[in-house]
Amino acid sequence: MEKNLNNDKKIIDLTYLIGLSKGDNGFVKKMITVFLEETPKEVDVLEESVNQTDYEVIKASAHKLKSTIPFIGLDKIIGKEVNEIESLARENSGIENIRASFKKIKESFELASAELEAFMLNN
Amino acid sequence: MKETSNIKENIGKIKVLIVEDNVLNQKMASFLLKGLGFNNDVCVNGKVALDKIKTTNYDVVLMDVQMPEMDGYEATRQIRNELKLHMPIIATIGNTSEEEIKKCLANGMTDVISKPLKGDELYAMINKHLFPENVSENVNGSELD
Repeated sequence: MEKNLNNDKKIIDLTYLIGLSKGDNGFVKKMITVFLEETPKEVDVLEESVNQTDYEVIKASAHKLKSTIPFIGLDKIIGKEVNEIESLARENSGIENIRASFKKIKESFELASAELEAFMLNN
Repeated sequence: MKETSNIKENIGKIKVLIVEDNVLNQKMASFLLKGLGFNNDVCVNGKVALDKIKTTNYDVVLMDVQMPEMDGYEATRQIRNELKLHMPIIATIGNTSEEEIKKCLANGMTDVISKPLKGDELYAMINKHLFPENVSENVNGSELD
């Protein structure tokens, strides 16, 4: 059953959530609902701060994303970029690299959200 | 709850306060603790945690470090220095670098646990600090993974 739940996912990996849920599919869906509600706001804050080159907010918001992405296995896809953004912002530098990494982060979030929505419909 | 030194017999009486601003992390910690049998309350930053700790006896605090309004380091310092409380405060951290661990311990935290949390690690950590004389219980805790 766990394998079925986790099939055909290109970006997301629900192994961690499903493992912790001990078969409580309602919990997995609840966590995904919270993820879909909360993370777009976090990505928006990061985007705004990247557009404004506000290193303080970039740093804080990348840090927050870092603890959110492992829930759906997204750390394997964009963990490196999120870490890079946080490190660069801590040094108040590298806005061009931050922009490039953010582009990948945003694209991955969009794909992940679509996959999560499909998962919610199918389970 | 410390009359007998056995986590299994006391688990339902153990109250854990989760201090965490990230909603996903809050829900995860609460779900894991509930599944293991612990009681828990949730609050969103150090400031609210201090208010709750003033009115409720918590046996263990799970403390995030970076939070708005009041971070986990400051909240821990106040719990130790002003409220004079000595319950285990476990820092929940994403970055488990030596520097971060040292910083947590220097601010009065008892131990650190890495995020994302896992049930068996959480159980072992709480057991280790509430029932240090009975740490072999950790082995039993692992079945709750």
